[in-house]
Amino acid sequence: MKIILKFAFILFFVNLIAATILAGTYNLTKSKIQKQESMIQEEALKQVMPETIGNKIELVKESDTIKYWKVLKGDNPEPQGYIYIAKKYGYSSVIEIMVGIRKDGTITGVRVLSQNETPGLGAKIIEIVSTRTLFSSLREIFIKEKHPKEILSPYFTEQFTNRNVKELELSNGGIQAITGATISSRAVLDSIKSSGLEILNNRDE
Amino acid sequence: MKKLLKEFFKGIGSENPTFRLVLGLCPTLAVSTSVVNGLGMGVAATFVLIGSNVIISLVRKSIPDQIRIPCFIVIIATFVTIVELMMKAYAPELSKSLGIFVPLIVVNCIVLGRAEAFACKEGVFSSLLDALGMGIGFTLALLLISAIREIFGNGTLFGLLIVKSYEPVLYLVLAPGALLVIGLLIGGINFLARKRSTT
Repeated sequence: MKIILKFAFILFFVNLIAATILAGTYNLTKSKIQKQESMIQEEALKQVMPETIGNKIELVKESDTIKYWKVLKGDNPEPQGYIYIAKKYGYSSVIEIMVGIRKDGTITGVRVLSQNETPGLGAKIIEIVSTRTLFSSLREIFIKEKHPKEILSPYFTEQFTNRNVKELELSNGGIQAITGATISSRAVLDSIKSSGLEILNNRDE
Repeated sequence: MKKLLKEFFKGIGSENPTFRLVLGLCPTLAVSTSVVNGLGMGVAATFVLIGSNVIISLVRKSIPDQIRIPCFIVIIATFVTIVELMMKAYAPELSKSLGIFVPLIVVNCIVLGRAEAFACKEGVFSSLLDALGMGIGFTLALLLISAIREIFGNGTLFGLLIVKSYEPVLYLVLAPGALLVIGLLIGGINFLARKRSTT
């Protein structure tokens, strides 16, 4: 009996110290983690909705499947567009996408917030084609040779810009799917389309 | 002094956790898709190894044998959670791409293995050197595997293109490629080690 109490006390003590240390670390990093997350979201917001359309956003609805904001301009109460986060299971992970649309359904920008698709195949939905190579980057560092700044936007999601959500389709003239990653490509397209249509239809009601 | 140096270098060479002890293969297979991921995983695991080895060696005399495993796990898990929170705060990109494998360092056999086989028997300083050696050995192994996989499987190194006109062998970045690369490396190292011991 006595030995059990002794063991219990030692385990309690070890756990107490561990919990104290973790609580301290959590408190130290909490605000920093939140800041990082909101920074990522702010940057994404800017990217999907250029400022010309509006300058104020207001959260309209947040549920498990959809989260969207309306974009307002000045004092005009009529929304000029919407920003939404769509989620859909792709090939091996949930793909989370932020999309900006005008009130007529034209897409202003698409950005993949998180995905964990197969590297080299599905993960190409966020691939950025760069003309920079390892050697040119090294040259830049050592000889200070300057290169023009590149636009860093993935080519797959770039295709969606200026298209209408109502007319999105995987086809030759429409959105080009990624070779070998049709499921991931289709998941991106479907979630953009269905969530976009849902928002536009809700407005009409 | 000579003994201490031996404790340090055995983790890198003769008792390399990946190639010689073949421990902790799960994270090795999973995160070695790119050099950045491999390096991040290696550094995170090294930090946990050092922390847990030192603490366990410090408290080894006050923890009874019967309950040592739960105590070790709590200590290891504490360090892993610290790493996880720090990574989220200061390296969010890395923490995103390593995903579930950071919290899974808790069950990495290398960490518990070193605690059981070394830190609970030896002094603080040699435990520190053992952890450092093992951590560096693990990191180097991860770097080697991930460099091979990234260069040939994706045509890049540190995310930068190597040659423009190279069609990457996609297979190497996928899961079977990891097994193939690790298998060939272990085979090659075993071959060299055997050759050296016979001559």
